[in-house]
Amino acid sequence: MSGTATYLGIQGMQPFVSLNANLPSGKSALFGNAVNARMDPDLVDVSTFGEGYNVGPSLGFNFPITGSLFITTSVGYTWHGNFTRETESPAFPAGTDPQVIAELTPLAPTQTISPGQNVAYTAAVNYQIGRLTAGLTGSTTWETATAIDRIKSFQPGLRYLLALQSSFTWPEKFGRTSLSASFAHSNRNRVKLFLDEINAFGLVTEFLDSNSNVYRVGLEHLFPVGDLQIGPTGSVLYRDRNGYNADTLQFVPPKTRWSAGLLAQFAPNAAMTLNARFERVWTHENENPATDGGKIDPIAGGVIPSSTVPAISGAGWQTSFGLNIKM
Amino acid sequence: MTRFLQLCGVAATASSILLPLGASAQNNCTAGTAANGECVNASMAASVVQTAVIFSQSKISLTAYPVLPSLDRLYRYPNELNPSQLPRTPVGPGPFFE
Repeated sequence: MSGTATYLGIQGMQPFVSLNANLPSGKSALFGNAVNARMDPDLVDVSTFGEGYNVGPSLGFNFPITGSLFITTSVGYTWHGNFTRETESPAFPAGTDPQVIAELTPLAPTQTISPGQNVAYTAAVNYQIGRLTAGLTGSTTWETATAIDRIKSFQPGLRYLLALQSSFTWPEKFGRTSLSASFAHSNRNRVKLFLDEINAFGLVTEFLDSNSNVYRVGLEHLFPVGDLQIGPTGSVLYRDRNGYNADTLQFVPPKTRWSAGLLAQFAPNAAMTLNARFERVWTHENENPATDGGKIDPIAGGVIPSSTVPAISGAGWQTSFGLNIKM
Repeated sequence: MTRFLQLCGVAATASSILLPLGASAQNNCTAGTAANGECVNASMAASVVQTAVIFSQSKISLTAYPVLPSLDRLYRYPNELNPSQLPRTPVGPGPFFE
């Protein structure tokens, strides 16, 4: 749910306020093999299975320099409510004594997650000249620590995002071509570490940068056919190395992801739009080797047990449908 | 000198806010008036405001589970690589909570 109010009575400056809310109804604790349903956020747009309530107020100013040149700034605060998830427990090797498993397995089936709160600053320049429209947006997101059972466990580093959106409308009925590109970078995270007997656990900046950079370029073209617009779409995503996805706090492997398909939009009237997208997706993940069954971990100060993950290539179909109604 | 600069700043800020108020009353632009007096492109103005709101709420609805690197072995390894497909995959909580 969201709502935005903009004041238009000032020449050259349009302040706006917005309130957004997320009222989830999904199941946040998944047990057994159901955990596999949580997918890579590079492959699916929504990788979350249930969460707490979200409330996000925003305040901003739009500065129209000319009729089609805008400089826009905004700041938003996102409050994330608590939710529960299944308790972490290690995987036991085959043949482990059930009595040992019972003793080592935590008795509490769920734990409480208190997600960090966000503050995001955004600045954008948008311009239209003739048939060309272009916009460049930059944002910085700061987040407080996430706590598990009231113990601060993780705090993502400052996140930077740069996004370019442009489109060109061809003459007559040759349609519109859109190009989008984005780049995301995060500073080092703060992670839970045993400090000493007095302070116990605390958050410290990680020694090894566990974030990765993500690059994405997308290109699409829509031909108008009456009320229908249809055309090809394609994109390339490149994640340079293993790292956290700063959006979802998930550990995501490096990969190259290509997609190509068909995009369609149908507007039977001015208030309604139907969208459909069919894409073929190809992914490739490089090998992640572990020499002699272990990897050097600077935080642990030694080698930790690990397994080599071989190169993985995959292909699949991705479809999505949408309905927009203007009231 | 510092006080003079502060007064200049206050005067500039006040004039930039108050002067356009008088000018804005003299037009009938549905989406407001730009700094140079032109009518604002309504659809473009709506789009840039919506984009600014979306970017300022970049993590709303996007909360996920903080899977730390220490849990990578539990959540990362794809079950297709298990030598035997029959046992349950080594992910998620212990066997008593299935």
